[in-house]
Amino acid sequence: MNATTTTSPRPRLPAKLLLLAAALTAAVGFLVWTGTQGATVYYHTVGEVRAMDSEAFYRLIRVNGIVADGSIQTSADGNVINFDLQDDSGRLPVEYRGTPPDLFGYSAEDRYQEVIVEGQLEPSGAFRARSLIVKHGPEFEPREIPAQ
Amino acid sequence: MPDLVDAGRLGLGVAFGVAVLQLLLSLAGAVRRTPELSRSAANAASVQAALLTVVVAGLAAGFLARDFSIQFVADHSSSAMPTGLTLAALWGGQEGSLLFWTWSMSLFAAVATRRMLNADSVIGPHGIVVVSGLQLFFLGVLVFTSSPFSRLVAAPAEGRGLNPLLWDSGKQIHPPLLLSGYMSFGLPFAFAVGLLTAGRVTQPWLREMRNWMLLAWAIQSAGLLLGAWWAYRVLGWGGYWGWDPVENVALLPWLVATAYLHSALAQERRGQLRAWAIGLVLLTYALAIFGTFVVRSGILSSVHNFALSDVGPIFFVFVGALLILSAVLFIYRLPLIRSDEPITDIASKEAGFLINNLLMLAIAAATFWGTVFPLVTEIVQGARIAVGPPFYTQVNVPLLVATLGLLAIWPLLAWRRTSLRAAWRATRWPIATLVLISVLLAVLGMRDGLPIIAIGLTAAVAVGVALEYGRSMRAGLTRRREAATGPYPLMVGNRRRLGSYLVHLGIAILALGIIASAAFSQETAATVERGEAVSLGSYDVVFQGLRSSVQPGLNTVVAAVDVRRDGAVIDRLSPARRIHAGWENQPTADVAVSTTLPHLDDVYVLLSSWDQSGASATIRLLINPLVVLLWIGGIVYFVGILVIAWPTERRETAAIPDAAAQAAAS
Repeated sequence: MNATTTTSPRPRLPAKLLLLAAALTAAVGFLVWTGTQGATVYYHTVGEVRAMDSEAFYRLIRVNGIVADGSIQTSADGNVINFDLQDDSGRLPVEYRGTPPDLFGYSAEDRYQEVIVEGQLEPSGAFRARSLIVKHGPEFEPREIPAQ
Repeated sequence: MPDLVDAGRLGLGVAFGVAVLQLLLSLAGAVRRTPELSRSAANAASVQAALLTVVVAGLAAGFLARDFSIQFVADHSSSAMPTGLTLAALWGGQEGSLLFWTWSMSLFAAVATRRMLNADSVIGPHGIVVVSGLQLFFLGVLVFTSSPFSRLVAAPAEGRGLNPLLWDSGKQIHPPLLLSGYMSFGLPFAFAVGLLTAGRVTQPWLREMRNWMLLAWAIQSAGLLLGAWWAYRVLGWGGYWGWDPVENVALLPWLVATAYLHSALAQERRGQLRAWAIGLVLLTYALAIFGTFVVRSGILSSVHNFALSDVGPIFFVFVGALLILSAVLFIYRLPLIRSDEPITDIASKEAGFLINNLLMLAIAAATFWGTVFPLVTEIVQGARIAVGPPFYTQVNVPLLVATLGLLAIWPLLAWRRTSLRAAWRATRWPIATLVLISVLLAVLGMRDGLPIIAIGLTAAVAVGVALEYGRSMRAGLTRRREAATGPYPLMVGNRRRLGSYLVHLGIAILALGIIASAAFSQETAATVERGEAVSLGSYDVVFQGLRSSVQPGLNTVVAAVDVRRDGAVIDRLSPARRIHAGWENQPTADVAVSTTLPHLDDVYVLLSSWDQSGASATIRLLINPLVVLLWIGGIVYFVGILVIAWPTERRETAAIPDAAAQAAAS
């Protein structure tokens, strides 16, 4: 039972298997490389977005901040939402079309709601969000406005 | 009324003392080769488990007595919460989850230390040292940084309560399962490190290591599946998996453990891939602790906000130490654990195991990369980025389809080498099924390549499993005819093999659900008057009005909707919003889902908002095809695990002489 090995030559894998492994590695490498190029979105602070000049318009970016108190406005048909996104570098008007996530709109007194918007800056200076993510967790605790 | 805070502190203090003693005893036992000392360490592990059980019971009593002078109780419960929920608050928050981790680890360790001594009297003491070390580390973190027993000087009249989003049974079950999963990967790790430090490899020891990994893997599987179910049915965002860092890091150890379970089989049956398998055990635990670190440190931007704290750096150092220690030991012992048997042919079962390992590791590597890439960019470039779900779908869906292909063919091949003729005979029906179904779907007008192949492959896997079961039932019938007396088995065959075919079938069904829902989910939302419909695909959801019900502390608004397909009413649903007292700003969704037959579409309806008069409402509608396959596949998967793990008399009688022979030999 005591399987202490003696000096045996390193077992070799069949060439077909090695080829398969190499092909798989190459395929995964390629998928990861193109995926990383395509699905990467940069985060910016409100201050950076506001300072962006025209060449940055229509580039897909993410901004993280809190929903400014009392800034949420919903259109009559309920499909367009406007609010101000705030961090310690300023405020940014955001427009979002569609139904917001369930937890959106929870912003009162000393508590705040942290959200991430993904979308584009428009020439008007407003941010058009194509996705709106509400950060959530076991505790919705009152905290200070996050520094970015 | 006894003071629970003092009692809890005392209990944890004594348990810590016992843990120190246990580690010293186990070290002495291993170094001086005195089995009595190791046996004492195993006894100490039992004492530690008993003590921690009492401590956990004490905290539970604090919760049930609504003792808000205990800060942890005041922070995580309120008198409005029902009893079951109050008990579940025990593992809410960092202190509670760490206590739960330490406690469940102590229960596992009490059993594992004993079984280690039985499995091998030389390696056993080394394994016990590792288990004792891990236990002491977690207990130390608990006692010195995150004790749940701190007192509030002025006890509040009422606790803070729990977020209503967490008021659900799925939520009560899946975090402890994931915690136990992360925790239990420590036991196979202890077996692997014990083997490396002892410098000895025996089959009973490897078998015992495999069993503990099987257990850990099953627990983690349950945690992942229930987490997905909870996200889908309760969170109400329409999906079951968001490729969020917190989710990804829970998947990583599962993937590597899956790889290990396969190479362990090649090791057991053919003596192949031994060092590789041991390496995977080490990697699994490093990933489990990495997951704990990511969750607790908040280093990766996640949708989940956990209570963050200073335990992050501790776990970072721990995972680094684990990796370095494991790597050094592994390289040092490599000549000893390396297997002699090469894999000779690609058309063999063992080659299938190796390909499985490559695929699992590829998915794990891609997922790991996507998860930590933002961190790398932030450190290197100073830019914050996000890697979105499209990345994971693009990389992992093709790999998942490749895994299905592997599942359909390789399990049917023979060990060592299969001739082309034999391989064709074994796989012709599954291959015919794949071709037939793919062509049929293409003719019927389906144009998406990957889903077509996925459906064909899943059917092929099912055919392969049916063939195997048919074969073993025929063998059972033959034996019944030949044998004069009973017992007559229904099936003859290796139970583990039959069980793993079911697990494969479960995975194939699950994978099909994932691939189809990723490709074909649709979503819309609209504000409609009473009698109007929200339409999507072949479905119309007609809003029929609102009603509200008022209970103490809870206000519920329910919408009545009819689900129609091609004009005919097929179901009535009641999506609702619950408004809990104290949480008025956060009405929680009560999702209504109707799974249609025979199309297997999930009609997923959410009530978003409504007009106070009740005349109109905003309804969100998703059509998620084949998501139900995730839950069906999950059930098949667990039935398979039960078949594998079900104790048999034969195995027990086989195991005892084994262990006895080991003890006698040393």
